[in-house]
Amino acid sequence: MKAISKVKKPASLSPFESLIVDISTRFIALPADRVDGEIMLAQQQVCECLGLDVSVLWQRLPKNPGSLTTTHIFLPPDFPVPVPEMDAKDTFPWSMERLFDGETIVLSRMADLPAAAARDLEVFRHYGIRSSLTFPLSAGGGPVFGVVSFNSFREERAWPTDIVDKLRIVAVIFANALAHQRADQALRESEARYRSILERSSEGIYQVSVEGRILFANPAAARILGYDSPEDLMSSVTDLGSQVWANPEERSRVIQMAEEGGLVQGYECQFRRKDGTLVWVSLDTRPFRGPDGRIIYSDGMIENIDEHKRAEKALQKNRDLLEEIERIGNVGGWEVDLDTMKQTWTAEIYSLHEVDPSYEPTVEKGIQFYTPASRQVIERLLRQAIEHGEPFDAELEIITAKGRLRNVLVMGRADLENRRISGFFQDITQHKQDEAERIQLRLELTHLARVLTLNEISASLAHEINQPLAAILANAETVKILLPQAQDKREAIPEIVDDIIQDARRAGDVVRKVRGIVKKGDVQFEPLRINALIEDVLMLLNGSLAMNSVMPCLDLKPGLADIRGDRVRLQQVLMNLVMNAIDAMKGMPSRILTIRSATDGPDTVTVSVGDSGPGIPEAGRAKVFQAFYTTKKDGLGLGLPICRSIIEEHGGRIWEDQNPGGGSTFSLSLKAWREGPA
Amino acid sequence: MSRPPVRCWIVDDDLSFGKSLKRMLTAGGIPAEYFGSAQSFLDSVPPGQSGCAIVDICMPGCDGFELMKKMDDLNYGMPVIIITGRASSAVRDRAMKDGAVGFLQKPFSWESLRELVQKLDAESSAP
Repeated sequence: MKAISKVKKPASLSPFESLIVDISTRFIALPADRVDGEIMLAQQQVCECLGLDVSVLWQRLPKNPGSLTTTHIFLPPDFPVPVPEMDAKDTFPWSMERLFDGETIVLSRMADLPAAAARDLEVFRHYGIRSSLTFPLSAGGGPVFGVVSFNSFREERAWPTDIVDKLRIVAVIFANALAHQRADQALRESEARYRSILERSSEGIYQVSVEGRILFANPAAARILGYDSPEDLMSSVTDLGSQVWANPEERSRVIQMAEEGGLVQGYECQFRRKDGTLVWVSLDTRPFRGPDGRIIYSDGMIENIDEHKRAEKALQKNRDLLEEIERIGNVGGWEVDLDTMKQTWTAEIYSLHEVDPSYEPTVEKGIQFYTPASRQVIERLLRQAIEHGEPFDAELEIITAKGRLRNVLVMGRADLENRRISGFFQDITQHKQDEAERIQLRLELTHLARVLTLNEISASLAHEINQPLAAILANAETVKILLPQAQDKREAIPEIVDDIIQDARRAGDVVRKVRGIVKKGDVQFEPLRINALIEDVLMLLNGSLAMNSVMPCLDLKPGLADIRGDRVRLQQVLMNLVMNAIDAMKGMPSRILTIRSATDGPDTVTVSVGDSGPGIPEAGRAKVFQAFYTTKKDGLGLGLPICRSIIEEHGGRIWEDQNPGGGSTFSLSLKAWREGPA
Repeated sequence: MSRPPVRCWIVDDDLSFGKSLKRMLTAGGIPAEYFGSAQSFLDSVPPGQSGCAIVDICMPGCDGFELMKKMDDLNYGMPVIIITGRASSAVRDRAMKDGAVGFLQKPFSWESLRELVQKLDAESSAP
């Protein structure tokens, strides 16, 4: 039996059985792209072998998963009715329901269909199908994804179990092949998707062997590194470490980091491009290990951050510049967050307070740096800023963390909408000292100028003193002559002695006034009669006027309000102006000095000193009040600048006009005296 | 009895000094007249008048040097003593160069003035 069956088996193979074996063989290791052709060939061969007319295969396709689409069909060439693409679910609802439950539908004749399958029957009849066998398609116990049917138009026929079982094998072969095809398709699509992502990515992606050979690179990697194409990159670079890394040792370090941590992210370094230039990249890299646990390759993702680095550098440069400016100007910026009352300081403010950069400023702590008097002020200013949004600007004093006193200028502007106050903080200690020194210097210069003026007028003063002395001497001599003479001759003596006393007083006056002028001292404002002041000055300068044959012409308005002034300084100004006028008229045929006093409104008194000199050349007029500008041979160029500084100290004004008839007039305006603080 | 002493014409803008000088000369026996400006002297004392002019340099309008020049121009023929409160050798040299017969720095003593005037008197009366 055994022997017979062994021998018989190959011999007893029917053509149908041979076909099934053939089909099975053909589908082994069938490439996906040949599956469709082989299925349709098998459909044809089965039909022809069994005398069937048509075989149709429907699938639920990914593009249309709700229905079943005809994908493979065999029709005899002379088949009269074209079969359109159709949805099997609509056309065979009863059958499909069962098929999708895994059942096989075996219909020897249409009459076997139950009443529930009316729609199926209608369609079968429409196509003239008289007998039908249909299998569900599923692979490896997975869900049903399609069906395949074999049909007869010509006759009703029986479907012996043997045939059904063999055709089921064909259906399984089809299902496996289609599943394989589907998987292959999915793989291809996913590959294409990844490829597209890789190709279009703006990040450079590559794989590199431990030795540094590039195994794969995408176009972006080539672009970032300046190569024509990924192929160019892969063939040109044989050692990534030495050819691409600007610093090859850095690569070893990163590999070590990756070995320890598995993944390195956002590592910023410089890569060398094909043309030798450097590019900043941000690198992510991950190692891949072989079965023995050793790294065989790693992949890398690089992003060009040159722009970012440039911007970062520019920002840093700006920051450095700002700090530099802060240092130079001893100035910083601050901001208060009104919700937290925390402060932000720029670097210079830390150093102005002499605290180290780890110090955390708050409003409360910041206020403690001020001296008690300044603290009251800053607290009030901050309160007004917080409550009413008032800007402020104050010169205050702080004591630094190291105990140094500093004068500071603090300015603040509130932005209540954004709940913040920001401002400006400047060390003005040096500035304050300079100012004090300047005031001191000005005092000394003023004094120096007075002494110089005095030197200039000393000849005049000598004359002024000699005049009464000469009269006194003459009168005394007269008394001496008269004393031994007769009584009647001596009657004149008391009158002569009176004259002596008067002249002695006159000389004393001059000396007193000179002493007033050379006296050094602070400004002392008092109510002054300007007309008396003018007369005093003229008296002191009488000698100079006479020596230079200058005719003084006074036009003093009577009853002027007292002015607020410092006697000595105003005398100095008037003396300067008169001396200048005298100098200006040297060598002129007509030498007339005009001094006027007048009012300019109830609060202002004006004095003008005019000469009949040549006037000031147009080019010099703008400079006459500038220090060290002079037209005199031995002039210092300090007279008028000092006059101006004195008059401005008095809250007045000094200016110069050209007289219509020639010569110049210097005028000054002074404020009238007011009781109480000025 | 000797002839009457020379007459002095004082020209000085300082009234107080002029007055005292006139008083001193008069008390010392020298007749004197006082003028507050060069112009009033020129207006009052005609050329050819005898005597001696005592002229201050520093005067507004017309100073002592200018007056000397005018007197020379108008042929006054009168000696001039220059007096000044502002003495320097330059001023003195100029005064002498311009023809002054004497130069005195204020303040000056009766003696020094009397000597000058008497010397002039002697010279003018010499044959």
